[in-house]
Amino acid sequence: MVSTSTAKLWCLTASIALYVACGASWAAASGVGPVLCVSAGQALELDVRFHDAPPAGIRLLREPGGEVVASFHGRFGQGASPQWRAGDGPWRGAAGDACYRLVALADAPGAAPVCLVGEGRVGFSLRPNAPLFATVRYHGADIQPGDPNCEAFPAARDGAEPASASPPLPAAEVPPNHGGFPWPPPRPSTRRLLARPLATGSVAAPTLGSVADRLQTALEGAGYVEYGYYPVPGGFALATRLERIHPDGRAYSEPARWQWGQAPLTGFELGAYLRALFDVEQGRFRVIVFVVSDAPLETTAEAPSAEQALGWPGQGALRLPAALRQQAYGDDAYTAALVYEFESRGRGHEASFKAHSSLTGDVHLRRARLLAALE
Amino acid sequence: MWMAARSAKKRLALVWFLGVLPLFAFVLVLSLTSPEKGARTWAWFLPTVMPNLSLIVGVWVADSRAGKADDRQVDVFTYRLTLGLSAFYLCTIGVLFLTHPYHPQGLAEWLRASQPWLAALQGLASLAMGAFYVQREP
Repeated sequence: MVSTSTAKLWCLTASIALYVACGASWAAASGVGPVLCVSAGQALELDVRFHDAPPAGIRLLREPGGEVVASFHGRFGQGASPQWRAGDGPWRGAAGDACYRLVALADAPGAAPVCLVGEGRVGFSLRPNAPLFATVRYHGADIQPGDPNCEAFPAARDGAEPASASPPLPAAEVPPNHGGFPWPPPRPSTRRLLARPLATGSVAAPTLGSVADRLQTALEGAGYVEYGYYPVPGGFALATRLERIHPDGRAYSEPARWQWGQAPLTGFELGAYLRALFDVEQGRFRVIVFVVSDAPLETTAEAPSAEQALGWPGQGALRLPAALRQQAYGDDAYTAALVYEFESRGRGHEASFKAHSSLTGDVHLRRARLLAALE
Repeated sequence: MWMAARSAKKRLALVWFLGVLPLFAFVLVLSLTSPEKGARTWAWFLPTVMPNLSLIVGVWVADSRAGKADDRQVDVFTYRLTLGLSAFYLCTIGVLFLTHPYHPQGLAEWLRASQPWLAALQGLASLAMGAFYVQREP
């Protein structure tokens, strides 16, 4: 015979077990995406890029019917579709007159995937206003207009695509400056006008090309091997990759230098450990944009987001085009460094733009080892 | 083998309360240094320990209301199993807190990732506690 108190205790225990079991089921899966229609005689080609191995994947479904044609998995960068693995290059389908739906599947708590469509590409993020977890560039198909599932790529959102996600551009190609580095540029945290000899060196008749070469050599010498060129009125802008810096402006050593977000500890040092344990570690990040032009430089009051700045080097051209290279660097021309600084508090926090840097532009350039290379 | 239920209950309560105390202090300090992260950690931490603490306190209150000392005997194996699982569970939570600086995605993601297997461990500890409290002398 079981007593009343015993029965109550068993009920309580069972309730706890049930509660615990329910709490564990946090995973969610859902899917949205646009419809791509392939015309007769054409073949669909998809270039799928995942950013940071997210807990999400993408599927290509035949419309109507929903038959799975291909799967692309973000986790660990592995593709589940036959014949396709991340890094293998574009996925190609058979030629034919058919429609397909690109669907994002997220396996993350609280995920509500959203898609953004633009010219020749589709972006997916885990939730509204979150960074894109994947970008799909498509060829040989058209997006069905008026798809209620997706929004258009807003200009500010273009920057959410990490640099590594952009396919390499042909050397001589400079994209039109829309959706990349904005013009007029957003206000920097600090800036520095370079003295003319620093930009031109000993060249008697400098051109934009010679200045670009000089800047490029200085950047590469200081470890900035990723940068992007943008045409701007009267010249060009050259944006470096977002880097992690110390409070005094020195860049972190690699690979932490290019690690976006707060880097995890790799060793044990009591002070650093306690700061990280109680989340009082601050992360500082910097992007330097050189503007070489003879047009007046005015900045907007708008503050750039770190996501935008992340996309600047990747969306620009790899080299200055020949047409711009020949342009003379006249007496009115100038070279200015705009320094955009961002800071985050603790891992998992979003980095915010620092309107006023605690360092001058000169100190930033010196600690970045760029002034020494130009002098 | 058998032992006094009263002493076994006391030791189990001691392990739980002394084990939870430093964890509680950690989350409290975290709330002061990083309010946003502290709030998320509280939301994870309280359901992780409160059900078991409530059970212990509930039994203690029930015993007090009964008005007489519990002079039953309990099985030593059940007691040791419950104590061991409880200590292991609390230590695991402590290790999760202490190792989060080495996790690239931060404390919240680290705790969230641990949720499924930690919930299983909590279930085991809870069931062992239930078995310990309801067991009767033969």
